Amino acid sequence: MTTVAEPAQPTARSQPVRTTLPTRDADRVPAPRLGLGSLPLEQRFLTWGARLAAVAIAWVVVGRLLPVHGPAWFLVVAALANVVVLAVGTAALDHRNVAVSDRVAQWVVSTGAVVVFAALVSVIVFVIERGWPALHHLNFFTKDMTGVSATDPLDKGGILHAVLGSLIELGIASAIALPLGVGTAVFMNEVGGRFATVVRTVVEAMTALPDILAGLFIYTVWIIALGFPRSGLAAGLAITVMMLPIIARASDVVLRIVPGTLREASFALGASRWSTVWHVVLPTARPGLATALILAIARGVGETAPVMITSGNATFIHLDPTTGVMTSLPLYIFTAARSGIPLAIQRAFGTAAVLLLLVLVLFAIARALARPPSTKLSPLRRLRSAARAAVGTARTRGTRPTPSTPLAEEAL
Amino acid sequence: MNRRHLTRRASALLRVLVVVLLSLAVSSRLVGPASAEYAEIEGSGSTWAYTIVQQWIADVSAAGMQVTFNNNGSSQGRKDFANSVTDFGDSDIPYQGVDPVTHQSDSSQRPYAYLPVVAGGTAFTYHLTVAGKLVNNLRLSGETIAKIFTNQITNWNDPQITKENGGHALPSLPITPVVRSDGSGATAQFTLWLDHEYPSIWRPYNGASGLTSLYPRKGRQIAASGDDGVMNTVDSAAGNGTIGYAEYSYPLNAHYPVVYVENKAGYYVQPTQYNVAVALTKARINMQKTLPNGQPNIDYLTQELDDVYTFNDPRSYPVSSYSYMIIPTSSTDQRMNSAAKRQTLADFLSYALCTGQSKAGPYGYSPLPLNLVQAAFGQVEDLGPAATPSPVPGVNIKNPSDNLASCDNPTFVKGNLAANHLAQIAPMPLPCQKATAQPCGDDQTPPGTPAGNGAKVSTKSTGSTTTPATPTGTAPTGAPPPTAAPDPATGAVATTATAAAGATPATANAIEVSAQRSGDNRLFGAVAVAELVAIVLLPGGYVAWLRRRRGGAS
Amino acid sequence: MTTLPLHDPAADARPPAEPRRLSRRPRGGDAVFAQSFRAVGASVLVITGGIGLFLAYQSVPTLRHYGLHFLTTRDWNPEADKVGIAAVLVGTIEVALVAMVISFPLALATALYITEYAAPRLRATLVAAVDLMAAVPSIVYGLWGFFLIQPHAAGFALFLQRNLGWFPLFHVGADPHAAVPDMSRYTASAFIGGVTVSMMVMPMACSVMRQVFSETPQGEKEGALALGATRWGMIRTVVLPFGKGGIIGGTMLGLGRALGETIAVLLIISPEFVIKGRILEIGSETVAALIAGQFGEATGIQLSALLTAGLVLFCITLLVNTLAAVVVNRSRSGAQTA
Repeated sequence: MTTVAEPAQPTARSQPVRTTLPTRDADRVPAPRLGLGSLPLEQRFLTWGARLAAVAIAWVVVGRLLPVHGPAWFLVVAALANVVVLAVGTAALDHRNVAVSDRVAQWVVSTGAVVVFAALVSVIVFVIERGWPALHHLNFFTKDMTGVSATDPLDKGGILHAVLGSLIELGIASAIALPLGVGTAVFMNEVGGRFATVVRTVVEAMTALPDILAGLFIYTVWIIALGFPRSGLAAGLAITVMMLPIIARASDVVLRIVPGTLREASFALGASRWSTVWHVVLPTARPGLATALILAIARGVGETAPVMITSGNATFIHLDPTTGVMTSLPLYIFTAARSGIPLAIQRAFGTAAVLLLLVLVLFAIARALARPPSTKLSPLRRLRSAARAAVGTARTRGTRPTPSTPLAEEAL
Repeated sequence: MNRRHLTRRASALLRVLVVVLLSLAVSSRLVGPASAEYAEIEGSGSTWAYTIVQQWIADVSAAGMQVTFNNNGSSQGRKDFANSVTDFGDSDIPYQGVDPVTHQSDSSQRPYAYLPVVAGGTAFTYHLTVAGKLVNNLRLSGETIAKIFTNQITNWNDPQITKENGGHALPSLPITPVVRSDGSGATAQFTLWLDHEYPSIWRPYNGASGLTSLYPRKGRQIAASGDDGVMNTVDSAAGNGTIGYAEYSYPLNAHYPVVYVENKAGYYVQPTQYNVAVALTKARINMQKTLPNGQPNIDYLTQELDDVYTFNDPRSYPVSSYSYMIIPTSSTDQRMNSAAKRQTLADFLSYALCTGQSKAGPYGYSPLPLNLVQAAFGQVEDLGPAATPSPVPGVNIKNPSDNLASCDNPTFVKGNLAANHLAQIAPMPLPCQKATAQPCGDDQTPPGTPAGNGAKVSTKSTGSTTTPATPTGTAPTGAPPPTAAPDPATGAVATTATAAAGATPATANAIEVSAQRSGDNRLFGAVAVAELVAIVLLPGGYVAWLRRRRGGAS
Repeated sequence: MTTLPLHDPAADARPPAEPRRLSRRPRGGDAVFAQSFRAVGASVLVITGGIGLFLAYQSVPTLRHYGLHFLTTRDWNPEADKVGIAAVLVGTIEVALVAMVISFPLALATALYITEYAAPRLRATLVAAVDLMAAVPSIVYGLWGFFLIQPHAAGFALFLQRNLGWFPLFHVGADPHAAVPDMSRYTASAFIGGVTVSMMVMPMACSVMRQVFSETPQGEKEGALALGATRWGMIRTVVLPFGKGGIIGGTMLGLGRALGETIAVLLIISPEFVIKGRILEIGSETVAALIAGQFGEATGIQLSALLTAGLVLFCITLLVNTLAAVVVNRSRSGAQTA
C-alpha cells in the first residue's frame, strides 16, 4: 500500500553493486496520511451506525418477533446484532479479511471487558441497593443486636459487634501472620540455603490450601483435641493459618525483585546483613510489601468458612477474644442471609455493603502506599508544609536557632 | 523523599486508626451491659426450637444476660455439648446411644440432664400456585404425607390428594419434597412418627426401622440445611411444587401456608399452639428420676409420643413434640467453672420456662404445661443446689419447683397442676376441617391461628386472574369464595384455593393445556428475524462482494 | 602534590596486620540475624507443613476403615456407614469447570482489553477495578449469586433445556414444556454455583494474564505493527504466543481457587450425593461445601473422613497450582514474572 521505493533491479554479477537512489514517481498521487490518533471518519460512522442498528434490531426482535422478553435478552440480541453489522460493514468498507477479523476481535475483547466490569458494578450496586434500608439508619453502625429479635424493624440493633469482632480477629491474625510471613520471606531471600528452598516449596504449596481446611485444622486441633473453647482467638488463628502462606509468598515475590546491586552496595559499605535488610531491602520493597500485605488482609477479612467453624454467633459486643464466641462480618452476613426473614436479609446486605466498604478502604490504602510518591504536593500537604515552614520561622526567631538542613528533614 | 512520605502517611494512618479504635472501645463500654453477677453462656443445637430460643435470648439481654445460640441442628447440639464446646445444648431428641450399624456413639460422658423447654408441631409447608395464586388450604392425611416423602406419590394431581381435598384436582406438577441435609431433630421427630404410624411405607424406603436424624434423600427430593434452609427452598421463587417439613414458626414467619394434617378423629388440623397442647396431653413423660438400681435415670423427662399420634381428639395435631435443653449437672463441670455462669443459665431457663412460654403461641410454638415446668425446674436445680457430686454455692434458683407462684406460664390452672389451661380452652375445629366436608375457603382461618399465618396470605396473587364471584348460596360461612378464570397462558384454573364449603363447588378441575402453543409462532418469528437481518445486512454484503470481486479483478 | 606516608614507629610495635578472615559463615550479629530468621522460617514451615501432615495423619483411620472404597463410594451417609467422595469429587470438578468455562474467556478478554485496547489513562483504573474484584469477599459474591443470579439463571437453564436439551449436559429431569414448568429443578445447581464461583476466579486469572501481557516486549509489538499487522494480528502473533504461559498459569491458578471455594457454594447448591452430568439440574456437592456442612455433626471416624476428603481436595489444588507454577516458569514470559 504505502511502498514508495521501487526495488532495485538486481544487476549482473560481474558489475560492482552500486547504491541507487529510488526514483520518485512524479505521476503518483501521494497517499493520504493515515491518522493514527483516531479512527477515520467512515470507521467511526460504522462503529456508531452498527451500535444504533443493533439497538434498533434488538428492539424489533425482542418481544416483537421472538417470544423472548426482558432486558437481558435485549442486550444479548443487541450485542450479537452489533457484531454482525460491524463485520458486514467493515467488509463493505474495506474488503480485506484481516480488517474484518480485527474489528470482530476488538468487539469480542471489549464486550468481554464490558461484561466483567458490568458484573463488578452489578455486585456493588446490588449489595448497596438491597442493603440501603438498613444502611441509612445510624444505629446500624453504632449498636449491636442485643435484645433485638430477628423480626424487629431496622431502626433497632446494628452490627457494631460484628465490625468489632472482625477487627479483633483480623488484628490477631495480622499480628501473627504479618511478622511471621514477612520474616519467612526475608529468610527465604536474605538467608537462603537448602532449608530455605524447602520452606519456599512448602509455603508455595500451602497457598493452594482451601480456606475451609484452615478452619477445619484449627477446629480439630485447637478446639477438639486441645479443648480450647470456640472463640475469637480460634477464628483469628484460623485466619492466620490461611493468610500466612499468602503473605509469605507475596512478600517473597516482592523481596525478590529488590535489585541485588543495592544489597551489594550496602555490604560494600560495611553494613551487616541485618542492617542491610533493615535499612536497604525492606525500605526499598516497602510499597510493594505494603500492597501485598494489605491485599492479604483484605482477603482475610472476607473469610467466612474458617470463622464459621471456629467461632460462632453472638448478638452482643464481645471484646475478649480468648473466651466466648465472637461474630464477624462475613459470618453475620451468612447467618442472616440464610435465615430467610426479609428484615434479616436486608441486614445481611447492609452488612455486606459495610464489608465491601472495609475492603475498599483497605484497598485504597494499599493503592496509596503502592503509588510512587508524586513530586507535586497535594493541597493538604502543601498546606501542612506551609504551616511547618511558618512554625519553623517562628522557631528560628526564638532564642535558639534550630538547624534546618535538608539532611535533618530527610532523617525525619 | 520516598521514605519520608511513606512514614508520614503511615503515621497519619496509625493515628486515625488509634482514634477510631479508642472511640469504638469507649462506645462499646457504653453499649455493652456490664452485669456483675452474670457471665456469658453459649449454646447450640436445634433449628426447630431456634426461633423461640432466639427470642428468649433477645428478651433476657435486657436483664444483662449474654447468651449465644448457634442453630446448627440437634445432632450438632448434642455433640457440641458432649465435647464441652457449649454450656448448654438444645435437641429435639435425647442422646441416641450407640448406633447398631456404625457403632458410632451418640452419648455424652459429661454429666447432663434434659429439660423440656418448648413444645411445637412439625409443620408441612408447601408452595403451590394455581393461576398465580398460592394454594393455602391443602389437606393431607398422614398416609399421603408418608407416601409423598417416600416418593410413592409424585404428582400434585394424584387421585389420593384430589380425594382428600374434596375432589378438587391440583395441577399436574411433580411433587418435590424438601428434606433436611444435616442431622436434625425435626427429621427425627418426623421419621419417628412415620416409623410408628406407617411402618409399611417408611421401613422399606429407609431400609431400616426406627427414626433417623439424617433423612435418606432419594430421587427428586431436595436437601437443605436447617429448618431455615428448608423454608428458604420452599418459599423461593422457583419453589413451586415443593413441600417440606419444619417447625410451625418458620412458615409462620415466612407467611407461608402449612398442610392441614388429618388426625385420628378425622379432622384436618394445623399445628397451632392449642392443637399441639391438646395432642401433647397424651405425651407420656418419663417421670422416673432414679432407676430401680438407684442410678439416676438419664432418660428422665424424655417423651414417649405413641399416644400423641393416635389421640382421637378432633383438635389434636399428630406430629407434636417437645424440644429439650441439655444442661450440665456436675459440680466440677469444666465449662461451668463459675457461679456466675451457672446463675446465668439458671435465670435464662427460669425466664424461658415461665414468662418465655407466653411467647410460644405467637411464635408458632406451644407452651409447656405446669407439670413439665415443675419437673424442669427440678432439673434446673442441678445447676446449683442439686449439682452432683456436691452442691455449688452461690447459685440462686428463682423458681424452686415447689413454688411456682411467680411463674406466669399461660397453661397454668390455679389449683390443678396436671391440667393444661390451653388444652381446656382450645377451640374445636371448623366444620370445614372435617374429613368429609369440603376444604375450608380462603377467608376461613381456623381458630387459634396466630396473626400473620400463611392462611391469610395470597402474596403471589396476580389479581388479574381472580375475580370475586357471588356468594354461593348456602355456604355456611357466608364468605365469598373467589372463583378463578382460566389463565390464558396455562389454561389452568384455580381449584382448591377457591373451593367453598358449600353444596355447589364453584370451581372446575384443572385443565391441562400445553403452554407451548407458540411453536408456529416461534417458527414465523425466526423467519421474520432472518428477513430483518437480511434486509439490514444485504446491501453491505453486496457492496463487500462487489468490492472484493473488483479488488480481485484489478 | 603527592606526599609520602610518614613512617609510623608505633606500627612496628604492633603485631603485623593479618588479612581478615573471610568466611561465608555469618558471625556475631549476623549469626543472630540468620539464626533468628531461620527460626521464623522453621516455625512457618511447621505451621503450614503441619496442616498437610495433620491431614495425612488424620486420613489413616479413614482409609483403614473404608479402604479405597472411600474414593469410589458415591453416598455420604454416616448413619449407614457408607461414606465416599466419588460424587462429591465429580460435583467439585463440575462446579470448577463451569466456573472456568465462564471465567476463562472473560478473563482473557479483560486482560487483553486492559493491555492492548484501553486508553492509557483508563488503564490504571481498570487494573484497580480488577484487583478490587479479586478482593471482594466470597460471601458477597455468594449473596449476589444467591439473590440476584439464581432467579435469572433458573430461567436461563430452562431456556437451555428447551432448546439444547438433547445435549446431555443441558438435560434436566423435568418436562420443560409443561404448562407449569417445575422451576425447582433448575435452581441450586452446579451451574449456578459455577456462575458465582466464576466471579471469584475471573479476577485472579485476569490479573496474572494482564501482568504477563504487559511484559510483552514493546519492540516485537511495534515490529508487528510496522509490518502492517492490524491490532488483532499483532495480538495473535506476538502477545498471545508470548503470554501463553501466563494464560495457562493464570487459568490454573483460578481453577485451584474454584476447586476450594466454600461459602458461596454452601449458600447456593443443594447437597446431593449423585454422580450426574446434568449440571443444570438441582443438586450437587463440592468437597469444601461438604466439609462446611457436615463438620459439626461428625464425630470420630466421620470427622476423619471429612479430613480425608479435605486432603484429597488439597492434593488436587496442590497439583493444579504446581502445574500452573511450572507452566508459568517454563514459558518465556514467566522467567521475569515469577
